[in-house]
Amino acid sequence: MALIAAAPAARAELELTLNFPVAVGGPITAIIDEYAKTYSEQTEGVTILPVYTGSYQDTITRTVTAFKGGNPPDMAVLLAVDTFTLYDEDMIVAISDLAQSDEEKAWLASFYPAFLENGSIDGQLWGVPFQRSTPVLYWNKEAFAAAGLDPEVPPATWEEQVEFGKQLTLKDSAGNVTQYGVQIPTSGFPYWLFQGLTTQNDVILMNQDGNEVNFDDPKVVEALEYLVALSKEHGVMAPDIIEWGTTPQDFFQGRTAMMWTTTGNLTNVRNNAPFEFGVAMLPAHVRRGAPTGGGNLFILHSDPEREQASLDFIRWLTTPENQADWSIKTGYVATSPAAWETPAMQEYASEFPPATVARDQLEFAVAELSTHENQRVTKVFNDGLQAAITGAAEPAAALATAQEEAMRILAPYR
Amino acid sequence: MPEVVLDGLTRRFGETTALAGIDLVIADGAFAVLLGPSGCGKSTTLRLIAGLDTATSGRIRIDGTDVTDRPPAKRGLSMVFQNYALFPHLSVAENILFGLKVRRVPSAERRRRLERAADILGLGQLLARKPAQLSGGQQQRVALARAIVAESRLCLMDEPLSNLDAKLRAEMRHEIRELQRRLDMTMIYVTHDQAEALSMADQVVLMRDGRIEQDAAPAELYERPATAFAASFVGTPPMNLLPLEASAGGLVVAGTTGPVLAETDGAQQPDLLLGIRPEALQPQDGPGLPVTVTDLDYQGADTVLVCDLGGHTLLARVPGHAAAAPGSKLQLACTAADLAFFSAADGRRVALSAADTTNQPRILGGVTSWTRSHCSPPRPSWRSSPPPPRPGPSSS
Amino acid sequence: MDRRLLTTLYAWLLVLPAMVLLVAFTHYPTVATFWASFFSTARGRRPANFLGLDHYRRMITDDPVFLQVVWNNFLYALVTIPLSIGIALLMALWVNERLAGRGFLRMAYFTPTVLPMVAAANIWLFFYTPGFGLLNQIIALFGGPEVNFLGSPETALWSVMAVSVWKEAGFFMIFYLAALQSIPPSLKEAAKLEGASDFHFVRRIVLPLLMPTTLFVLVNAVIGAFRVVDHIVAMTGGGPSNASSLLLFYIYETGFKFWDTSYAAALTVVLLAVLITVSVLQVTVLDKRIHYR
Repeated sequence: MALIAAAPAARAELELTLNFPVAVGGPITAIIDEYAKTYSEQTEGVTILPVYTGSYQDTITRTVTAFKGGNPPDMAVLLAVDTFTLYDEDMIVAISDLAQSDEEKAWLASFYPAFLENGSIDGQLWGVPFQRSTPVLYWNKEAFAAAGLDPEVPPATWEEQVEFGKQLTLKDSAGNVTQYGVQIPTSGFPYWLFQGLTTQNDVILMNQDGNEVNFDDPKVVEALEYLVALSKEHGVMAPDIIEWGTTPQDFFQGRTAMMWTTTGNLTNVRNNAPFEFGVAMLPAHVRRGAPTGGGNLFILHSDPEREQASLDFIRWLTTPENQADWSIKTGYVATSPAAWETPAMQEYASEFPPATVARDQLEFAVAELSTHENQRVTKVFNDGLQAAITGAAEPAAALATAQEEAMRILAPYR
Repeated sequence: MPEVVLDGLTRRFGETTALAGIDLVIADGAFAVLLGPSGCGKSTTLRLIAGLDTATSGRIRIDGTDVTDRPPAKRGLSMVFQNYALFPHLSVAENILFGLKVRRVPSAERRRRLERAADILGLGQLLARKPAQLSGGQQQRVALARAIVAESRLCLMDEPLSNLDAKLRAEMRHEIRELQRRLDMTMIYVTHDQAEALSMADQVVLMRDGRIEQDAAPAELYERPATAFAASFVGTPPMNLLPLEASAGGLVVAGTTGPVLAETDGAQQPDLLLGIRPEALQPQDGPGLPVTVTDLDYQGADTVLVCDLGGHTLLARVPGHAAAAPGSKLQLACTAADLAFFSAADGRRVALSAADTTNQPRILGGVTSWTRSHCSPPRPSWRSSPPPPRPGPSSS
Repeated sequence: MDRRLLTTLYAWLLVLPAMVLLVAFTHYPTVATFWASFFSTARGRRPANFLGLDHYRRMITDDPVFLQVVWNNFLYALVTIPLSIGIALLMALWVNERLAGRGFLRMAYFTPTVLPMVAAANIWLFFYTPGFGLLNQIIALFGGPEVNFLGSPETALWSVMAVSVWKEAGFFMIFYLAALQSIPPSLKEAAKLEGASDFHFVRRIVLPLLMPTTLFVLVNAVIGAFRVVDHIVAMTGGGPSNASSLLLFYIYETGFKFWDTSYAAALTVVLLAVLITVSVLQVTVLDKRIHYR
């Protein structure tokens, strides 16, 4: 591993805490512990203390609470979309302010631009991409073959997705569906996968300043109508809200022949699917497209010495070699092209080609929906989407309501 | 007329036999007391009569009708529970009228009966109160009132006075007895208190281990206990029971050399117990039972002397304040008629034939002259008295 | 020193630890919450400013989610409370009888209560899952159509209610069972002797005697119904489109997801007001009709 950190001599021992969004005892903790140990040993005067804080939601709750209580961690991995929230609370340091040396500036420029979009406010960069993902399409090759489709060819367009889906949807003698064509989960945070559809329909959901949204754009309405039609009109997807968590299970059990879900599920599917499966970019419409997702590394306000030491650790953590190691071990997308050039990553990609699908899709990826008052705005959007999906409201009406409500929430920021 | 007849009534709980075939007749209008120590089966008997429990075998007839299979409410009886079983959330009036309402007695009739019962038991001022606002004696009266408004002629009571203090208990005994006479009810009353039984009952049914030990009028039970158990259960203090042994002159209290209490004819004797009521023994200047006083129990009207006779404890009740001091030696005398003999083996009473009654006072080893005419030396020929009515468990 | 003064001082010293805890963890937070509800939420880059009753006005006029969660919560209370209390009473009467396997039944009824809510929610999550979930498999056995219990707005709230009834009933049963066992058996015998049927006995004697327990259970159930949050988080996240969201869950979202702490404070004040009103009503109105032993 590369040694970047050059610790000044005779510095008092610095203990830097890192809030990390994973439940204690998971396999990820061992990996992070290992990184922290390695770095602490090779860097004089610095000890990294990872704190495992549960889900992303738990982690931001704990981090904000600790900050308000005057005892924040030095670093935290939090959702990239929460950047506005952290910025509004004035909790975080602009990475681009800290990274002043040429070397550091070069490091910042090394990431995929799609991953930097969510971290940028006021022309400054506030978060370093680390635990990142993007949604992809998984398909069951055996089900494709059984339906008379070419098992090696996933749907490339919206129309093909419907067409294939119809062939893949099977019913029993009573008329109840035993296998659906496709499953796009809509529980919890439906906006994320839906943003795949809007991007493919060539529409952006919010402005760069995060104080305006575009929910009632006709192209957004069109995308939602397509999603609703999958179950209501074409019958290729289960009706009502589809649970995010049980979707992989549905896929393994043959209840759906295709699913949209995060690349983070790659290892899970690889270990548990009892059939040959394929991984593809999401189907295209006007253009190809997908949102990014996942977490960034943030540095919280403390004193210049600690902030600089934190930056040094983050730079070390995101060296191409370490990114490759992290990506191979976890399935998250390595966040810089250089990481994909490392021998380890090259070997992994040739051994397991689906891993490269996410990387290739990054070219078409856009920033995840993120605004000021982010969770509140996305909730309004989620509520609108769910209302349309469950048939409680027409897509256009639901989105108009969401747009009005979101703009009201964002009014103070304009 | 509510005559109650039990015929071979048996109740078993798994392996345990609570009632081992009871045969009993309680006459119409009688005040019958089921008496016995705890676990003797008296409450079980009462519950079986009430229908709160089901007999394993045997029949129950009330007033000539077999009610064994009838539910409690259809047996024409009322009951007073040991803890009164008053409904705590209902007023006294509501408690008394509960059953009448259930039976849909018209309200005018209900009012009449309530007034009568309240009048009889002096509850007029308390009708609006809740049970918790009443004293124990008042609660007892409410329970009685609830039993009598039903106007059933058979009333069952399960240790109704056990929660009252001594003074109140004495009053209530009297009151219940009077109530029973006045309303001409047949009463079956359970108690473990022999004094209560003696003072209230027409008929005492003494029970032990699920069987009837003796079924008799109070006076007979007291004066002629059929068994050593009956003798030891009844009386305050109960009858002295002392083992006898043969000596040269006849039977003497075990461990003593005399006096001879009964002659023997030399034949093989069963082991016997001597029974003497404490009040039958009186100190005497002349020869008698030579005892050593070990303790005194002063009770006001009389004193119980706790004495030692041949290593056995002998109680004597003497009038007034006894002069004897602990450690002093006394002679205690009694009349021959006061002596009872029981088989040590089965506890049954043994009749001594005292046909030949001379006036010689030697048998009692010098029981004094004032007792001479009664304290005759029997020339006994041993035989068992006829067995008391004790139906076997399989008689049903 | 004056003896009475000493006694008074001593008494105050005795209650001091409890007082300190109460003030620090109950009274002060309550007052602080009330106070905070009149201000806008302070952000790092914008300070709080005084809003007066603006938050409360916003609930009524500008917050359809609030109105929906209040309605959901009342429906939730109205359905789950009588149902869980009724079932608890029936179960208690049932397992209070002398019957074979009584101990096992009691344990079986009580088990849901022992489970943490999140664990219970996970079990039910499996029951409700479309397709391979237990309930849908049973429905499929009878040829019925697939039901997406948690995923459709018509069934989500009811499904969440069912879990809550399932869990609460066993808990309330224990209180009823304890109360039933303190009723002397002779009362039943006395009633039987008077010719009262079992039904009459339960209605006229048992129910009135259980009223103190019922009040206790009712207060608990109402408070419980308004502070349910765990199984909403675990099962539906309040969705779809707030169909299964309840007041406390909305407060949680507002406070810890939206970080709008002062609006959350205002919502908390409303919740507190509801709870206090209901409790006072229960205790004052029902108390008069209850017999305490």
